[in-house]
Amino acid sequence: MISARYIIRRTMNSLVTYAAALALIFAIPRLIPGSPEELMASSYRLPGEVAAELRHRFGLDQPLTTQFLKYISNVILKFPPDFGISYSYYPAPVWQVVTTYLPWTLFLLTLSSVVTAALGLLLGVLSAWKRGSVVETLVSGVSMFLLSTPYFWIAMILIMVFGVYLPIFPVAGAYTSTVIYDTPFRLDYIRDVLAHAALPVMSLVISSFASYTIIMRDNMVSTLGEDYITTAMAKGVKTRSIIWRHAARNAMLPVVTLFILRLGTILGGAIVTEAVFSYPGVGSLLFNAILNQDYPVVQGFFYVITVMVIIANYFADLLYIFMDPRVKY
Amino acid sequence: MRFGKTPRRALLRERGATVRQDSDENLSSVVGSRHRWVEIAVAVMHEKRAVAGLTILLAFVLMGSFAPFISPYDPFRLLGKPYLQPSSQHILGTDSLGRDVFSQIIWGARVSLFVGGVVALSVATIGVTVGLLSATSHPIVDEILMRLCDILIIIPKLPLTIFVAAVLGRGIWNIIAVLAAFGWPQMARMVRSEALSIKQRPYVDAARMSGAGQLRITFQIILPNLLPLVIANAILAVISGVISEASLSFLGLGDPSQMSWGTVIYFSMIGGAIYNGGWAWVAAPGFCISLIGLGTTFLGSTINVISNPRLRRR
Repeated sequence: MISARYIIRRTMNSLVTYAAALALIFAIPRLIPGSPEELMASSYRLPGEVAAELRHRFGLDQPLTTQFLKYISNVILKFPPDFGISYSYYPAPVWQVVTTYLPWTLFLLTLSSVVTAALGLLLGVLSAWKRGSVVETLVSGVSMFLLSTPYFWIAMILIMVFGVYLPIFPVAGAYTSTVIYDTPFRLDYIRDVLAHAALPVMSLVISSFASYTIIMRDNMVSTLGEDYITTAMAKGVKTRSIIWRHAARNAMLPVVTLFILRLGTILGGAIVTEAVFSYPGVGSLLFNAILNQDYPVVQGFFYVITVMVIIANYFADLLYIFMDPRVKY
Repeated sequence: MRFGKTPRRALLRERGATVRQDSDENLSSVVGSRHRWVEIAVAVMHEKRAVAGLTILLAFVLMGSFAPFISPYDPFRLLGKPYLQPSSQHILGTDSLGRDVFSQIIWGARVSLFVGGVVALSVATIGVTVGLLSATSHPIVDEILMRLCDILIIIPKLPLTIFVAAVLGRGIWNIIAVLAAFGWPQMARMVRSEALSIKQRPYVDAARMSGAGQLRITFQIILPNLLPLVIANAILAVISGVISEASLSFLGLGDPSQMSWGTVIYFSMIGGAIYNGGWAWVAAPGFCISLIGLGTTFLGSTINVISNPRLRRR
């Protein structure tokens, strides 16, 4: 069973990872040749004294250690964490900028992860149960092919199909921007948002359900070979009950971990997908921030998503022990 | 069918947990003998999937290698009308500037596979080095290296790659460097856990008893036993290199002087292929990437299963 020692060790690991990620996020913009204010100075042809003033304002004339300590205290001790002011959304604080875009990405991410996992599980169970049939060959073949299909390519194909040949869904943005609603809790607004999310979510689902299907199939096949399944069959338990209650529930365990582990990957995919659909999430934000050399926003972005993934991983590990009593640490 | 808890085990091992192992499982594998390699190769070639995968990969490698001889036109040359539909002259039609898409696909195989191959090779080299170092040296070194892996694994890779690639500038070697720099931790972890498990096996004890030193054990016993696994995962790393390069190119961060499949998709996006009937232009490059993925998955996973007896009992 779960031991306190393991929890402590796992917590320490997460904290160390968090600390190192903090340091890395601090280092990222500073490793780049040419400082931001030099870039600003050269691109806007600022005179020398203005550049020096900028340096001073951003605190870049202080020694690195001072900068680091200030950064740490601003990020850890303050809530919301203070990453300074965005260059491109001046004078909005970074935290405000990131949290404006974050909900859209979380919305996409949640919706697509849930649909992906459900679809992947279903198909996995189906192909394991129908082992050796045409269904299995078909499902495995399609999954194998889709396993390494680029997100953005699926997105473009979907735009081509649904934007040109079969125009059902809107192909850009997160809502119809020409209509202004007094409250977001209106049925037509919700429908509008869902319609806009349809294609991005579909492209994420199509390009990522395959890994669930394959793992679920493998686990399901092994679980179906276990003695307790034979016992259940001998007892005359209904087929549906054997599949879902006896086998699938046990075969699902690693899939739960996969679900959380893949958060980071899906997040990466969401970023590119957002670019295709001009969806106003953190992906679009990051991309614009990179193009505009808005380093505070880049830092804020990496901080938020890294913390999210660290927390998700931490709970995935703990959850796993609770869910599968056979795992010992 | 036996108790197939392997996927869970593999997952756990990947996550650094200690999984109980039957220490006699691999007893029969003769350490690093040539016989074993032949055995693995023969077993792999008996699998239909692996042969199919190898055929796909070889076809694309040949296509890329002989691109100058095969491609009907120069992929960058403006030939005539834009947005031509597929025809006998232009098998996949022309792009928005009137360039031949089929030629771009052929040259794209060269660029994409080159990037994928070099990335996979670098990832394997760094991964094996770090993994072995971690498994065989002092626990403190091990701890530091593994925490480093954790961090690199936990920070979502694609955004980080996009950021660094954007900063470094558009060049094919920059892209390769970035992808290699962030791609190795998974490989290192896998190598480490596998090396740790090999270290526990009786033949390593036997070697130690007969007076073999640490270096000899590492390079002549552990490494050869790891190699099939490393090769399988390096093959699987090719596709992730290809996809990552395509993602960067698609976002306009690729090398503009090289026509990779990602660049073709990028041009089809900004060239308005979608709204000008250029379905073949959009579909072809992505289809090729998926095919490469299929090939690497078939070949890589078969080698994985065959070289790893614990997975074989499915």
